[in-house]
Amino acid sequence: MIKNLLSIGSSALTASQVALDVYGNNVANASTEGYVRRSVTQQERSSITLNGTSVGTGTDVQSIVRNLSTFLQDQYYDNAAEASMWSSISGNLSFTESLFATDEDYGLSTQLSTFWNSWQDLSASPDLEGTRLTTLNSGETLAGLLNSVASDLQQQQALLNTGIKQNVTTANTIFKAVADLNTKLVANPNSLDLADQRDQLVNQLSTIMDVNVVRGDDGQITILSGGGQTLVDGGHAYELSVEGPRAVANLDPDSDFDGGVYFEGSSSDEFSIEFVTGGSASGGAGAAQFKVSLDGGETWLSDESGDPILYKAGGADDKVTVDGVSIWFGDGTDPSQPATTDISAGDGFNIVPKSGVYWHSTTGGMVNITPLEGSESSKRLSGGSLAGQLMTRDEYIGGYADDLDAFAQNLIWEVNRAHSQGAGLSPFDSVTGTYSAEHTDAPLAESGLDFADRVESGGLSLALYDADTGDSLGVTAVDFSSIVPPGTANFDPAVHSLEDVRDAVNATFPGQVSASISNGALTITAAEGVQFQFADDSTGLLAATGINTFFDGTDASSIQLNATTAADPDRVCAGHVNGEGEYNAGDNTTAAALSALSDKTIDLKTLTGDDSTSLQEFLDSIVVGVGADASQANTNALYATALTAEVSTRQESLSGVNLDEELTKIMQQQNAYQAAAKLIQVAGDMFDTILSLPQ
Amino acid sequence: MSLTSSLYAGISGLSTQSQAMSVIGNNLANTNTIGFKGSTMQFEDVFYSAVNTSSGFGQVGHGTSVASIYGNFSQGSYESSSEATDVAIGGNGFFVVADPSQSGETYYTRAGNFRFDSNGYLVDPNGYRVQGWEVLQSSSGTGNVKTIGTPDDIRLNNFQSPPQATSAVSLSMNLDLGSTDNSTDAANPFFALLNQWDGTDDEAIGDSDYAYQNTIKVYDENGTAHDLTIYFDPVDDDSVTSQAGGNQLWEYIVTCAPDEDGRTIGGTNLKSTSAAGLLMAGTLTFNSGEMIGMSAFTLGSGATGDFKNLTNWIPADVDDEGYPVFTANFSGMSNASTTSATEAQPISLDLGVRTTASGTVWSPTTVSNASMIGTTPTVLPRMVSPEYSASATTNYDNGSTTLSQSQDGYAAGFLQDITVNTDGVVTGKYSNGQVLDLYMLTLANFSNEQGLSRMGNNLFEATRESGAATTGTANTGTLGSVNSNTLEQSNVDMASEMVRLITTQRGFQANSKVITTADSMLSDVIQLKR
Repeated sequence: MIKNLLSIGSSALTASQVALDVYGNNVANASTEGYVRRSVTQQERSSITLNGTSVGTGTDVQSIVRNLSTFLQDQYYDNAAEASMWSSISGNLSFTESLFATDEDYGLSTQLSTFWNSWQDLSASPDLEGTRLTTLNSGETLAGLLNSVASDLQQQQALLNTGIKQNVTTANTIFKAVADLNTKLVANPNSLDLADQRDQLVNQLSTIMDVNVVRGDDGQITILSGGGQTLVDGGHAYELSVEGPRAVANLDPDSDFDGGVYFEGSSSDEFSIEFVTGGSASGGAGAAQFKVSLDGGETWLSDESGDPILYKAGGADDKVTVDGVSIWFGDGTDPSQPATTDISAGDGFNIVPKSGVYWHSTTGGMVNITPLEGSESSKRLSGGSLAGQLMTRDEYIGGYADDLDAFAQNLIWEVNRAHSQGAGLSPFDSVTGTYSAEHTDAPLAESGLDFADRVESGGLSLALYDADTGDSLGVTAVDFSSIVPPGTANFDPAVHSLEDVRDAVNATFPGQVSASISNGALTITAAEGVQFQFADDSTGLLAATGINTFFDGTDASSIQLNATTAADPDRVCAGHVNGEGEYNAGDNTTAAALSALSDKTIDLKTLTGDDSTSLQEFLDSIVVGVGADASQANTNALYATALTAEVSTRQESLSGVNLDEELTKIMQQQNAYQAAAKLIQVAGDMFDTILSLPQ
Repeated sequence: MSLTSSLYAGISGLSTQSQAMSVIGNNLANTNTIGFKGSTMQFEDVFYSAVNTSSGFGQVGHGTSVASIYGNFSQGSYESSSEATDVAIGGNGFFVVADPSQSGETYYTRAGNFRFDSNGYLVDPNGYRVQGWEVLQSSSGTGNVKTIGTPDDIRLNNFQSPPQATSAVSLSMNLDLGSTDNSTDAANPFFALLNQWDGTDDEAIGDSDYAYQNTIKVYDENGTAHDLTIYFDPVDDDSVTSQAGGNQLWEYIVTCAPDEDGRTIGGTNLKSTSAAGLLMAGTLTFNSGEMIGMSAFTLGSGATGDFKNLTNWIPADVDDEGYPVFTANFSGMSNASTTSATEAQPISLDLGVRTTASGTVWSPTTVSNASMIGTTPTVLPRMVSPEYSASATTNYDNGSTTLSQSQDGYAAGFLQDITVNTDGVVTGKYSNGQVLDLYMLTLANFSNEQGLSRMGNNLFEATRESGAATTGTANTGTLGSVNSNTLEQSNVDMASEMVRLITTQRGFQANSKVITTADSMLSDVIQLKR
């Protein structure tokens, strides 16, 4: 029948038109980002029976499909997350590297050498005022440089925080957009542009964080983070947030503890606290003891012998300080009040003294997904620029800052320890320590003095002089026998408090030298007509209280010259008090000792244990470490980026628009269209023929 | 026998040929009428007079008359259309439409140009309502459509797809073999997570208490979405591993947000207890990374006192397919707080293992509650006749990851689109992704199609001759298939009609020639007498 012929022709015309639309759209979007090549599938229409035979009725456009491989897509997500993480780390570290510049004129390493050399010079000519000034200047420059690197690192961390917040906001926006597109796509599964949009969003998300995409039967996708947290489930978007420092209790189910854990200060580490023995949370003899882990419980902070360090749980008055963060336990609502219930062994607390990225679900509460160095937990972020920024902030820059602080701390101690045993050219009338103790009545080891843990048992002697003549009045050791108990002559940091030191000085030098404490700082004052120098100190008490020291401060950001010393070049101790109780301008004992510190192997204390190395070597290892990290990150970034490009190319060969191919198809369809039109023309001619039949 | 009679024979020829002409004209007039079935005029000779001939008896005819007008019910060709409700029948059968007025007359048609009217009825251009069967909703989407009752007006009065509560959650994942045991409990190492959970805390479980978790949205019967989280943690206590025989043991808990827990057991609302949100607890046993056992415990209806007390946790029920079930009773219905309760809407947990046994599903049966396990892995209940799926949860040493997760609930949705398939099933597509079978078109067939009465308006009516309509669904019996987005064109074949036009015209001319010839013969006869 002619009508069927017409119908066949018209269906063929329609099909060709649709195909031309699709291929034309491919050509038009050849350079559109995220566009996936589409193709048309056709099917034969159901046939009809005419005159006993089955006759076809034309063609139908069955569907328009996107040419995309989901396997390649998943590979791309993995590689893109990896590449973008390392690119982010590499980009940030290349800047950090420049802070530790190693050129010859400027840079920490050079400046430290200069500092040692200035002591060398001083030991060569201890009687020249100029060399003393040079020593002070080089010390000041070194301290200033440490301050500026520390502050630059902090600034970079602050910048990273801004980037982290932006990334989290973007990620949340993408979650919502994908959830929205999921809802639309489930209602309209054939909407290809929506599918394109969704894929592009997931691509974008995979550069922010590592994702795992699960495709549902109904056209919706579920996005999980690499750590298994659901980010988008169908039409529902979950949320990430940047939360400030927080502490969470993780009590043993049988524990009765109803108080809270509190902390002050910040750190780039996370502290996992686990109680080893139960007991009171407010210090004292029966206090519960805990150990601390920085890697989520894989390893514990240990002492020299490798045993975990046990800290005593204390209230607001006796906080435990780890890595600059003071931790204490208190009432459930009021941090200043002691906890009323005991802590049980097995109770745990997590303290995150920094901002972090958290995942929210209604079931269990917030989940911390900030990458954690050293942890084997796979629940944290492990890819994407977000993980890169967090890792740069905490693991890399945080680590450098910790190292730099450890270096500054050891430098301050070692220099002060040596310097405080020396003697300058002008004896003291009065001197006040730069470090304050929190508890002046507690044994010195628990006094809260910054360097309290380094003070040892031993003796401390003062050399007294006649203020007018300068004649020696003799060298006398401070006698602690008057302190009851225990009534021993020597100082013992586990027994004697700062107040005991004061009392012992007062008891040893009645009428000549007196000591007092104000705001936790020790002041030693000579009586009228008397002056003094420090002759011998095997305890480290002077260095710990900041008396007769060279540096002040405790870490890289706070290191500076001791103001008393800086104000008077004569107070730079080049010599020492000799056996006769005299000090001489030509004596270079202390300057030589300080200059020798340059390559002297010391017990260098760091957060994660002791290290036997010299200060110069330690600083060099930090600087080299930054360079090595930066170059490693760069290599990783290049490698992962190349892999991503490879997967991208393979996907592109499948889903990209090849103009030659499209044009061939367009030509084919054009021919088909012409043929279909011919069919219709033939049918028309046939009608004419029939109509001309009757006269 | 006379010349006059030949005149009348000619006249009968003229009159029947002209009637045939009307039939052809009507056919050609309806050449573009959807679903039109053409007719053909059937001629017959009329009575004969006996005449005597030399050879004896002979007969002379007296012309022609119309024997019948047959309908041509052959298949018309298709034309495509953009409307899903434009349907065509390929093969035998008629759509059934009913006059909505009092009389309720039923008509039959091949013209499937139907539309929904303002009241939601599917109607033909006359406003007559298309008839179909309602479809049993529970059979929706199964491909096995069941109809209900007798054919009735097809009407879309519910533009929403009702929500469905989740009844099954399915997960496939790998749990990292190298995970550390985060939650421990010396006395009940297999229930350390359960012990750790406290629904009254701000954060019911800390993020360092478990090794892996999986969160999925599930729906209650009102279509509200709830978070369902399953926490996993390995059991590495020395007391257990020494008896495990090389197997790896994991514990898990299934939880929901504590404030969304609607269960009330023994008069106590769980929301206020430390067990709030704790729906199921159990263990998974792996060997060489493959799952070899699963246990599951839920709160029994006899639970009293502290709901976290393990004596209250009894081996879970299983559903018809053999998966262990739990319930959260999100909407707080009565008699629905345990899986065995009459109104319960249990959710099954598919981690890749189910039991094919009926009756006793857990062995050993001596373990009647979770407190009887202690530290002995050998008494952990295992499924009787377990069947493991290919995508069962694994325990390989390469990072915990979720491979797939799904559940079968959904929220309410709005009607987006209507489609009709070849079986005549009218299907609604809803915004929640659901495809619901709504109606099935009724097709009618007759023992004698020729007996149908043409009512105009593309309608046929059954008559005594056609016999009563036998109704059925497309593709059953002798009935043809239904093609959506298609209309059946008029089956009038123009070429044949043209030929008939010619033959009819020539026949008419010949008959008129008979009359003129007879007339001239008559005039010859009259002129015989001068």
